[in-house]
Amino acid sequence: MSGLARRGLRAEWIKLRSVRSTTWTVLAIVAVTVGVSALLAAVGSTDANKAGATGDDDVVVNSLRGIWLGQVPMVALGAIAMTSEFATGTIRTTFTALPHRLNTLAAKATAVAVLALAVGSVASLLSFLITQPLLHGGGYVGPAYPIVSLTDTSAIRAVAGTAVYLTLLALFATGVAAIVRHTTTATTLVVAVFLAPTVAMEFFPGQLRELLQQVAPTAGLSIQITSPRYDTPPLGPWGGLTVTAAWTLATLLGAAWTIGRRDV
Amino acid sequence: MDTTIAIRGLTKRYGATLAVDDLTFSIAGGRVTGFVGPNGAGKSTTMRLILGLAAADTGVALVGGEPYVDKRFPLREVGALLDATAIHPGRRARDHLLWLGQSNDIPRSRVDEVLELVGLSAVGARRAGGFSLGMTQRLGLAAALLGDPPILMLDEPVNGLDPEGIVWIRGLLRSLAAEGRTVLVTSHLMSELQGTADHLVVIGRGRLVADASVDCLLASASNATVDVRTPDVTALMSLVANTGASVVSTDRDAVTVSGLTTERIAELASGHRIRLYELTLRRPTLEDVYLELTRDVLDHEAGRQDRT
Amino acid sequence: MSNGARTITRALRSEWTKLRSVSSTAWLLLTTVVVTIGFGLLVSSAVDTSGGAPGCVPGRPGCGDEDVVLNSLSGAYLGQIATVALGVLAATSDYATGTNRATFAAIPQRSTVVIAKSAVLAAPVLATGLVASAASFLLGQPILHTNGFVPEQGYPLVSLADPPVARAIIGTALYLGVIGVFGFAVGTITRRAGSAIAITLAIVYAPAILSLMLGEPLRGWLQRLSPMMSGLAVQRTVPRADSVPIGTWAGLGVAAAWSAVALVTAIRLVRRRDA
Repeated sequence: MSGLARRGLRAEWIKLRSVRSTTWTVLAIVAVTVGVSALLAAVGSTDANKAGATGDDDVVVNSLRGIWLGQVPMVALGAIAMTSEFATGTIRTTFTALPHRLNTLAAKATAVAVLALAVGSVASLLSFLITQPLLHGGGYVGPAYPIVSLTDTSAIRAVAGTAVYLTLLALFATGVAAIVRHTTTATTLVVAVFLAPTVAMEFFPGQLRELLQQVAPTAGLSIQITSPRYDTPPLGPWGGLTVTAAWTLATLLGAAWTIGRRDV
Repeated sequence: MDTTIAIRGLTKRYGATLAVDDLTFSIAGGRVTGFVGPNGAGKSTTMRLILGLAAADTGVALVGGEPYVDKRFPLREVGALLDATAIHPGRRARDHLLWLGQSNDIPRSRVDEVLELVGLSAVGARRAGGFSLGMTQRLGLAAALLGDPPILMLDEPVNGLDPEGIVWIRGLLRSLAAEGRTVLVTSHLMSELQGTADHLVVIGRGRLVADASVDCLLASASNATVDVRTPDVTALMSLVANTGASVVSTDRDAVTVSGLTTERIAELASGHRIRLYELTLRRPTLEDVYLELTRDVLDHEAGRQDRT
Repeated sequence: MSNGARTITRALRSEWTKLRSVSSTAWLLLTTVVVTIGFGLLVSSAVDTSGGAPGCVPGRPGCGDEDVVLNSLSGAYLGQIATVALGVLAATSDYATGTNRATFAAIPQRSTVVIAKSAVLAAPVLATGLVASAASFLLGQPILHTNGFVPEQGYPLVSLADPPVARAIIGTALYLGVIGVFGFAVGTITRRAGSAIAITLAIVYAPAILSLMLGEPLRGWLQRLSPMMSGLAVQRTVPRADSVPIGTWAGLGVAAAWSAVALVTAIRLVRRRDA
């Protein structure tokens, strides 16, 4: 890494750490994700073993459901990392100190990505670990539901993939925030894009809905799927994550394009 | 009408910091009072306490004989300028003054009147975000004057104004005070207040340091000194020393004398054939008085430099 | 007039001037209308009459049970985002710009100010909500007919004059007003636009997402307590198996209760905090 890049990364990391809302959002991400996952696991139960059949719930997906809400503070993290600069005017200091604007964006994105990955991993891991005993207590045991452990490939993929998904989400928010430069607008847009469609799509008939779900930014959550089901998207777990990555890449490219062109 | 601002035992703590510590003073009408102190001394906090924006822990602040929050039309009695930049950048100047006026049943015509008064008539329709610092300051002033109030509380009103603007505002403040209004002004620039203020309230670390008229403070300050420039430095120095006054050498050919008038020095010099190239009386400035008063209550101090 | 009445009038006047003099207000109202109508039309074009046989008797098995009115008004599910944003900004922009100090110096009676702010916000939201809902319905009907939602398939023609339709349209507008005030209250509590938007949208959408993952009886309870799911039950004209288990006006009452509690909390905080 060049000296300039290393300095830029350090500067961005220090800024991210010192913004007070960072602490709150990090706590919220973990608390909400783990809390909601645990809550859902505690109230869920299955009769599969009694009926003697194999159930079709995806135990791993069920252990990570809190992520749907954990997305909201994660979006805030990504957006505020960018917009706090514009709101307080530090962006002028940033750009005077580091004349290469794209480098700054890259450094900021890297800092956000590192933090998001760390927090996302913690949230994802804790979700999985804490919900397992709760799910077992609800009847999710063999033979209908073989016990899943963290060392299983599918579990590793789901947990790690969820952390990656959250990171992509945070970067998406950073990209949008860099383009619109306004906290409310950025947060609104990203939360809307990630939460509202899930609800809005319920209005569409089956096939259309499935299609939309596969191209929506939330498609990446398919990485959590470990057992095929009637509603498994044809793209598969990695395909979904690629869709999310594509959305994120698009906004970051958009941010790079506007940041290079606009006056500060 | 009672136009006094009266504060008794006012205290405000923020966490571990005592921002305002048992403050007691009164601001009377008919004169310009400077409210001064080092950064962080508690000036802004005090003003916010007076306006009811923050709640005091103990003590009372009365404006015109009653707490500010009890007033029915406060803007018609007190015009305050706390932070000129506290304006929505997307809002037009005229709309900003309009909503303020509407909040206190102030006639719409006042909006154009005050814009005229501060010289912003031409840009009334422009959004505040496009204003320069000076224009923003003037808009804040216009807002304070909107209700034609008998009491004015202005926090750093000259901030951002160009020299012409500073002269203008000095005149404005003095004329407002001459009308019998109460004018309270905070400032960092003692040089500004020297020509403007009649009375000074000095605070430091939340506590009252001084509350006196400017004349009184200047009189009580260290005596005036005289700067002398002469090629016969040694001779002059021993001559002055013999009279009992003190003299300090400041340069190869310059000294500063304390304790003698310029006339006396001139007489002495001519009596002993000492050539004088410059003879200047240095009266103590308000800045000198202020620095001396607040020396002990500075929280943030730049590295001391020798003042010669 | 008593001291109180005059103050509220002044507060209403000045807060309205503040709200209308920033461009984001008009933009967000327009966005609400456009998204509400747009998404409503989208859904109207996408739904089909699966289940209805020609000549079937409405209400009997063999006939479809799509709620055409609700479908045409579904734009509110997305349009409300702009409404929430408007409410949040109406609260937070004063704090962000420091205008809150001038406001409370001008009118020290803080509860009056907060109430005036929510009132001047609710009025235009209600008005535009009414326009958006009515337009969604009117524009959606022909599309739905083309898609086969006709009397022969078990779907009687409906018009604005029908009481359930009028109720759905007015109720949607009321819901938007209520949710806008909710966003405003949350914004007043947090004083930061970012967190207020995130929290409000989470409260609005989370129950809907969670109810997809829950079973009864929890799902029913969650829906009944959720401001959006209950609030928009007012749009229902055809009872269905997956309808939110709450009465139409009772549902709106739940949303209003959320708003009211948040607003009362906001007022108490505003009175206690330093400006």
